[in-house]
Amino acid sequence: MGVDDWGGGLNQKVVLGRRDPLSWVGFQWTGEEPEGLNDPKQAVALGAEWEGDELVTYNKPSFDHNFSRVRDGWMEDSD
Amino acid sequence: MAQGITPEKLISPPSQGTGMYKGGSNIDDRFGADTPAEEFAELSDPLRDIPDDLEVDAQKLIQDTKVKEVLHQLNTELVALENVKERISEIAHLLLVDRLRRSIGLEAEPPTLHMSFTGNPGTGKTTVASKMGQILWKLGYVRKGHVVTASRDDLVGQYVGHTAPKTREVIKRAMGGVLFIDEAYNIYRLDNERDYGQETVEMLLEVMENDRQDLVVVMAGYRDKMDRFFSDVPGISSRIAHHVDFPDYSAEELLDIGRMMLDSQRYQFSGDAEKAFQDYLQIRLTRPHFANGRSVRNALDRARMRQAIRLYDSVEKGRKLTKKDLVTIEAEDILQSRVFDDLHQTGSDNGEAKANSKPRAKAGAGKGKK
Repeated sequence: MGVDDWGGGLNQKVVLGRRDPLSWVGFQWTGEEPEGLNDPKQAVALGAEWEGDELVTYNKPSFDHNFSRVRDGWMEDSD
Repeated sequence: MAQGITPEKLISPPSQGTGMYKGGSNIDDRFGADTPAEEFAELSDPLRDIPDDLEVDAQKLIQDTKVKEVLHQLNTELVALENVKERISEIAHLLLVDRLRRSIGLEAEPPTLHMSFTGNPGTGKTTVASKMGQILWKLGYVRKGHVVTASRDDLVGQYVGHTAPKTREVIKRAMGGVLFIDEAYNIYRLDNERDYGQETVEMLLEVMENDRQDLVVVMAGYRDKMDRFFSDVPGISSRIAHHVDFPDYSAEELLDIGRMMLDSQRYQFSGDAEKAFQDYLQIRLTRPHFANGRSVRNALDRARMRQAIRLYDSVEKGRKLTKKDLVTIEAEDILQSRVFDDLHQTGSDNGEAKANSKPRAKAGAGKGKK
């Protein structure tokens, strides 16, 4: 498997959530977000970005990977 | 004990609404401190800025939420449970109208939607919780609408310092959706002062009050035990707005459930099989450990297994199978159930059962039969 094969969905826009001013919580996930993620700020910290009212990522595999490291309590190597 | 829980916190007023209308916000900026009280009250009333004849595009908002589809699903996929459907529908209407109100800037406090589901096993509590999650998500009450099921073992630890992280982890997973606590009364053991369940209860109380906009807690279990639990822990009871009772199903309703389950899996009863299943249900209802819909599902799973063995045997004998063979549950697939054993032994009038039954060992269904 070459580098080009890594992370299917690279450069493909995935909408993780949307601002919804009519909702009680002001924001709703689309179901594309990884299981266990509920804070949009955390999503941004992990590489997602706001495009208007949409919270998107263009590298879903990497985003999921980043979140799994946080969720599973792995520490980044500090070296 | 959970950190940071004080009696003041538990009785603190709910957080303010988060509506989009900002016309009435920041009153102090618009009026000087010397504005007379009456005038201030009148001018600060947000209703004053919204014309009475302001139209709301209700149709579009209702269409956008697609809540009708979920309610329709609830009605068609759930047999009986009319009171449950009615209550869920009421909640959906409340949230829908709240959404309409918010679209023109009418704020209100978020309604409390924590619920208790009482009823015997297999009456549809988990299924309804799952549908409820979808409705809450579609109507913007929670961010995700998923359901996390937990019981005492998932929440309460076995030694000092073990409980809080366990409970916190479950709550964290459930945030944005529904936390379904099965047999909730097991969390708290009143007779044991050292029981760590108390810590879980306190943490739950805190999130039920402070995070009620993004988490709905559903406590489920047998009705009598839940009643006792609520009287032992009044703080929980007072935070639960909706008590929904799930009645047992009648034999006829269970047969409907069975038909629906088979249909969803592309199976069907033959005429004789349906009659046999009716007989099965009548007997099974009187036996111990009957669990309503769950017992129906288990019985059908076993019938499918017997059908598979029957079909395999017939292929071995050189018979060709058709689609009809593959989708049809025959009477003998039902009548081999252990439930009919008493009838067999007493030479009952169910002659068909005897005639169609294979020796159990050959049917391969000796284990797990009921």
